[in-house]
Amino acid sequence: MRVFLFELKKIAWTKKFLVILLILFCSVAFLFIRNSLFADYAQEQKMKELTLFIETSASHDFNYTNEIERFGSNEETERKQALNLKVWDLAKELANSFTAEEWKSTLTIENSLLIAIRNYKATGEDYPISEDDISYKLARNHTLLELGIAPEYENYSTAFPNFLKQVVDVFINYGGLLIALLLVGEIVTREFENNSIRLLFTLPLSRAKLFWSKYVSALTISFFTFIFVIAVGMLVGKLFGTDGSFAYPVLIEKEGQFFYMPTMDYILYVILLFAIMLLFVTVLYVFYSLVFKHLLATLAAIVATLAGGYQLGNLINWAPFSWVNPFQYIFPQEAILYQNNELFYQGIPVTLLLTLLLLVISIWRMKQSFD
Amino acid sequence: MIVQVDNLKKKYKKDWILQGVQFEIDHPQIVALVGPNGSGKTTLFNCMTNLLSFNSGRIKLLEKDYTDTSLFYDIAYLQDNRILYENLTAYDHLKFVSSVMKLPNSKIIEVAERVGMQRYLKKRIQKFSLGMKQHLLLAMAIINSPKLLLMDEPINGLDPTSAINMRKILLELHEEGTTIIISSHNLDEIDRLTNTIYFMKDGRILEESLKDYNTKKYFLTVNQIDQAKAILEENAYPVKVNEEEQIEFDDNHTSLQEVISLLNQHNILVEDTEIIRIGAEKRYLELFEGTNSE
Repeated sequence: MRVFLFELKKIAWTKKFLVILLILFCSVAFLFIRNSLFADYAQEQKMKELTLFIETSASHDFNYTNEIERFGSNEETERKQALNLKVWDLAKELANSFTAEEWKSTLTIENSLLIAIRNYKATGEDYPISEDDISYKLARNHTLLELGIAPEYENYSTAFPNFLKQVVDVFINYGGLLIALLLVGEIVTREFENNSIRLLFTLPLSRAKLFWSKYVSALTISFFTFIFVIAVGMLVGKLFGTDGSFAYPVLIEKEGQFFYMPTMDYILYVILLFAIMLLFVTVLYVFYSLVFKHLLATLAAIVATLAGGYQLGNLINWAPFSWVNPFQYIFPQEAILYQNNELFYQGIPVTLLLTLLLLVISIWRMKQSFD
Repeated sequence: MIVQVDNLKKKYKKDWILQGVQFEIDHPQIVALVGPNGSGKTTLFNCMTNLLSFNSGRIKLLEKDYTDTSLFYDIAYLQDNRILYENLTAYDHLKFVSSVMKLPNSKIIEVAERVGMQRYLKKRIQKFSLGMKQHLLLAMAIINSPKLLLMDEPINGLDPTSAINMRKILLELHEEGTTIIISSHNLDEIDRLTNTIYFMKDGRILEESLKDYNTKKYFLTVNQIDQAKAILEENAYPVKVNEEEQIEFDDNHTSLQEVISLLNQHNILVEDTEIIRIGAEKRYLELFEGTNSE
């Protein structure tokens, strides 16, 4: 416990740590301000998309009319024109109802529009929306209607639950591990580089105990940072955001079909996977530190390992591979959102087993005297 | 037995850093390790404290295997100041060491006063001078009144007052029964601390090392130099005549009184007697003159 507290103090009393916390605080606040300011922009984007649909349908209609005038009536062309007209009408209707308070009718019209576009595209015609987008939006709208929850802009929401989800996503996918590595480096690798590890090695402390103190303090400081981010997200979202609902659906793709899970479950699963990844990456980092004893070499080795492992995971589509791939939680969001050929929890046993194995090897290495 | 180092060999890359180091210390004393840079002093300390592996040999400290970490309740190793944490205070360091050693907090103040560092106890290490860091390292090393104290260049960076204070503390610790093995380039300071000096060269402790040596050398100016030399040699006194035509001998095997009496008996007049302390520096120069320090 004494060593653990000393290890914590070593990192917590550094400018680097305070700067990291400050940057994270500002980032969360900035994200909220951005969401507030860009809500209108999101609306505009949606209107632009609708305008594009309307213009596209108008242009297509003009072409069909010309074609009929030039080459005479044609059943196929008339069918396409009718389908296009339906899309056009629905797009105009949606554009008119867009500002209406009645979100349910808006979603219903949008669904009709999406189905109309899908039917139109089925005739072989182009339309500026992909089949994947249509499926995704349809599934999302159906779910929202089914649950009776008003839609939020996915990337610009100020509703507390949606904003919190966004904060967790951004932190975990863009820098959570990197920040953890920077902090762990201070506790482990820097000690070897500066030779300060020699102080610890010449005190009546078992090397295994030292290892655990370092590992646990590295994890504690990483989790603390993560909790700090969540706390700031909650504070900002609760104080300045709208209420929203933690039942808000997050769509999951499984074998090409869309299912949903409530935002709360999603956040908990992402945190779980991130925690597992943190256990693994931290011990991998300590292991490389013991091998290289140099910060840059250790960082390079771990980045290469994670990037290589991630690429390998992407290359291999063989379903059972998920049971033996410990690198699938580098981006936990992906593991949950896209469960094609695999289930998000399949990688947990192998990741934990590998973590355990690396722990045993690292403790053994720590017990050895160095060359 | 306090220290037993038996035929210790250490290879680093292609070079043998230690080539069969062997020595024993069976009673509390101060032992100096002296040698040019690269002679293996720090490596020897690091091997003794299990910081470095070695290729062959055996180390026992205080009758325990050197890998036993409980040894560090009774052993302290004063290393270079890179082991200190720049963002923490001297107090943080002493607090940590004392808590690991299961000592009361009062020991921190006690040792700080003994070393003379109360003024900057709460200062961060990044604001410390070299001398202040050495003080802290010393305080951390002696906080537990160790039975064996290994010191690697402890006098580096100390001003004269601090060096005198450190010498005083080391002599006090020795009086209290601590065995001290100290490496230093400050040979004057070594002379003041101990008569037992192990000279290290190329990873070995030289046979010519000084073990409890008598520190005096005599130079006699006499009126009949040749006759005096002959009489002394006849009586098996190991003397020689130096370039200044003086009879020269040291007090390892020869008593000054005996020599003067003998010469007087033969009516040889001793006109002048010069007594010079044989210092570590002199012996060092004898052993290492022409050796390049790395």
